[in-house]
Amino acid sequence: MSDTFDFGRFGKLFKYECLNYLPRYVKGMLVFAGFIVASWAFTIKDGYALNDRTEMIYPLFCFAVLLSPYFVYSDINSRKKGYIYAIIPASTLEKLLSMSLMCMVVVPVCAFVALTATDVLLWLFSMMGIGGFKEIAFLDLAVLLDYRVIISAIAFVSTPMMFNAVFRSHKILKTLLFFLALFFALVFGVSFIVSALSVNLATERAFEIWLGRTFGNCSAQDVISFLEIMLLLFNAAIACVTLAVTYRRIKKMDY
Amino acid sequence: MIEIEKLYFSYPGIPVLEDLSTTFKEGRIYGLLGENGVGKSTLFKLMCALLTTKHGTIKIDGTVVERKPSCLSKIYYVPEDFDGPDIAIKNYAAGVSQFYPNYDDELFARLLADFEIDANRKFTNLSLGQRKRAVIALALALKTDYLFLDEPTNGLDIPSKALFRRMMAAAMDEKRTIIISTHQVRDVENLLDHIMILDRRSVLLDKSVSDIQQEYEFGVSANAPEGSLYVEPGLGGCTYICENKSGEESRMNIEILFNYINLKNKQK
Repeated sequence: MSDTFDFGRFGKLFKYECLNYLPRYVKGMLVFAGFIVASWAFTIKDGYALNDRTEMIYPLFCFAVLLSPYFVYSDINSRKKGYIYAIIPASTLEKLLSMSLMCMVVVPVCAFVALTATDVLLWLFSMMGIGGFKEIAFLDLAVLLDYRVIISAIAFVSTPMMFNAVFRSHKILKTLLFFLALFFALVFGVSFIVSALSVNLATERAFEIWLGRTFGNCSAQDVISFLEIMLLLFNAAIACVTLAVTYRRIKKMDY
Repeated sequence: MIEIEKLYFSYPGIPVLEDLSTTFKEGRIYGLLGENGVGKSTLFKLMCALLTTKHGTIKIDGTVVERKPSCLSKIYYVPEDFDGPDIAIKNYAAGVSQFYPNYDDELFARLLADFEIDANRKFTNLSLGQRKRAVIALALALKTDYLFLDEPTNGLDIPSKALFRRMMAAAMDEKRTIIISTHQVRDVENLLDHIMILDRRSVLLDKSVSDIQQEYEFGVSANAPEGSLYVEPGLGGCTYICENKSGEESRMNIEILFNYINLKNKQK
């Protein structure tokens, strides 16, 4: 049996993780479903507009998926409990793939079902306001199977997966602080570049010439396509880097 | 067989194991003893690839220990504090046992019944002792070639300790190696085939129980015999260890042996 990847062992690992880790997520989902119930309870007197609930379910779904690694794999790098995960006789690749499958497929499906089911129940219960479940745009299969959406979704989920594997404690807080620091660094960096370009008129002129040469003959659609490609490459790079870091953490993490 | 060669490990600024070389052979129950902080738990973690060696090698059946399936499926580790996941014992066992080809479900059920643990209960609803009993039952039922138990009797009540000893004795066979790290030496005294006493920098003692019994004589008397190597006064008389000149084997007292070996090491 290969030490790198074996389908049978991967199946066992996935089953193990479904049995051991997924139940933790159910509690988290109850909290998210609770938001819908709470909003329904607060607005029942005044009726309920169609768009409100739809608009609420989508961000809740994104939050539920984004936070899922922190719930499902909360203790994989805990010094006290993490050893249970580490000594499971499965390869690092199998562990990474199982984690990805869980966070990118199983959890989104569970989150979608839980949130929509809550919405359906509330609609059936009150018959007030058509439930968001009827209007959910992200159920469109053509959109879901678009490679750009898939790459973006992988980057979207692999990033919290990486931070969950990197940070041992206060994981969500540290992730938020990281992004806050990154945001300030970017703002500072962009401000610095813009001010530097503004001071140097020659550079500013050269930049304008470069812009003109590059995009001068392009239509708005061309520019949008260019930006989409850049975004796609950026997402692909983020997905590769975050998955690589997660792989390394699973393989080398000390307990 | 586990072969450890020139193993060195340190936590940041704190050397723990220095130049440790030893072997653990099949068919034996080892008692791994040492003062707090000498690196017994660290050694277990290194043998399970939960920590990375700085220098030196650890080989299991001739292969360097790594976090890969072929290596991990041969070993199981029960730490001192086992919290366990927030699920029923039977679900946890069902998940874990898939990876271990020799797992014996009937044995697990029997051991749980003997320990009076309900498999439907969640780990989080159990006391420390109950969690310990459940995970020991699972560890024995997995029937791995190498089993590492860190302070297994901590938290067990008196009947459970006796039951633990019976289970361990029953679980032993010629292919298995069980290593028990403990400070509660009396709990496992009659189980052990081999004693290893660790110091931070060296192995102070690495002998089979029968060799120890042939080399030393243990006893209790009103007055310690002349030439005793180490004596501990008590209410019932003096407990002593001396050279075995008669050639007759006496019942080993690990606590006295440990204190004597440690004292001898400190006097060097």
